[in-house]
Amino acid sequence: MYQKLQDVIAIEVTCPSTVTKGDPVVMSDDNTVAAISGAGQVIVGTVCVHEADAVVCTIETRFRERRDDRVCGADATTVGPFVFDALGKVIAYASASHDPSAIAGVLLTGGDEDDVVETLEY
Amino acid sequence: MIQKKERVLAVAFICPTDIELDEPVLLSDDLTVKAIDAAASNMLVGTVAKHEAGDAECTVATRFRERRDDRVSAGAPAVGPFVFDATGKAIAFTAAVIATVTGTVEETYNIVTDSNDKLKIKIGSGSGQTFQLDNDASTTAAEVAAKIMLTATDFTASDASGYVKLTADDIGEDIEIEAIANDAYTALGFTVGVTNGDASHDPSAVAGMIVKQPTPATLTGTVGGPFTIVNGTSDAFKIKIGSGSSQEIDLTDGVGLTAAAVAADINTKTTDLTATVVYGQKIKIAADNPYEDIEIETVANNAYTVLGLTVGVTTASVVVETLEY
Repeated sequence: MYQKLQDVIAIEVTCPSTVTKGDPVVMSDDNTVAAISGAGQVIVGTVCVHEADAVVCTIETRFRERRDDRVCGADATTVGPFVFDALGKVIAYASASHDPSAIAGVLLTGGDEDDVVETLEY
Repeated sequence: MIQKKERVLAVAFICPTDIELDEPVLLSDDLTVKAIDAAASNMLVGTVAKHEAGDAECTVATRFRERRDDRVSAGAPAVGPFVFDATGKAIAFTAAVIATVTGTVEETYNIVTDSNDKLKIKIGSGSGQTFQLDNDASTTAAEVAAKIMLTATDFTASDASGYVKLTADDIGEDIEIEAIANDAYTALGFTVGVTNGDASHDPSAVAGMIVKQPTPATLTGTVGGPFTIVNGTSDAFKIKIGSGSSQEIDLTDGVGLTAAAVAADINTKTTDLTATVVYGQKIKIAADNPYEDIEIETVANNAYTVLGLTVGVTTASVVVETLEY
């Protein structure tokens, strides 16, 4: 039996045409997802709507909030899990530098310092 | 566009008066939040959902599923992330850090070949790396760091204002200074041993956040004032708070002493506790910190009967308030 929360945040993203409903996916580019390609990746959600061969899909996420007003804290910040820096700006989570328990969400779009980016947040 | 789930757990917290709506906030104290002031903190509670201008309280839309006030803690955890122990008690989670070791001796160093010129450093589960410094009676910290960096892997040696500093390249990796013959440790101010960088537990085991520590232990006398305390007969008072030392004092003697005067006398002569007056002019003793028991200890010529106190231990609560995933 599958049992699901009804009020998840669902978003539309670009995806490979081969993605399948139910696939857990990770961010691969701005508003673009890809199927998991490695162990231990931070997934953004699972595919809930995908027409055959379509390159867009809807994913139901594990997050509480979608925002488009966070400010980037570093140049060349890429999509994927992020943490807040000391100023409250978002920077990419770096496994060599940050404890995973500090991950605050996932960046849907990347950018340079002081760019406004889109985020999904726990 | 900001899109939000409607059914989040919203909790009122004490906050700075200048907190702003939608600001992500960190837990800073019992039921208290503040704006982010540290990078990559794991104290993030949520975002401010409601705050009136100048108010010292706000509502936070949290990232948690459940708020509880019945979890039993172990090991006196502070507010912050917790994991469950093997018996289901909440214990503190300590995040991984980038380990650093800084020598305690300032440059310059008198390095003598085959006398005090060696270091052996191990990073994480790697092998011990051996380094040999140059023979130089006035070696600087920068020169030591540069020599180490010629072959160092997985860590960085640097000159930290005249001291030699070792920094692991990755979070969670320990730095171990290993014993080796003819070591330079005394000269540089290093000590053989391990500096931990690893987390206390796997971060995926974090079950939520302790948002309030237990209320400190309290003890109230059964007799109300005014009190008559007789020097050498009923003036002794001996108390122990938590793991602190026993505190034995003589209360100021007198006839018809008010409860306020006795409480003030206790406060003046003791530490780690606060005596106050409660209804009925009775003396109430409260530990200053959570998790600390109050023990009234046996002593001759005590004031216990006068104040209505009994020899014994009042155990501190270990029940915490939590927000849980």
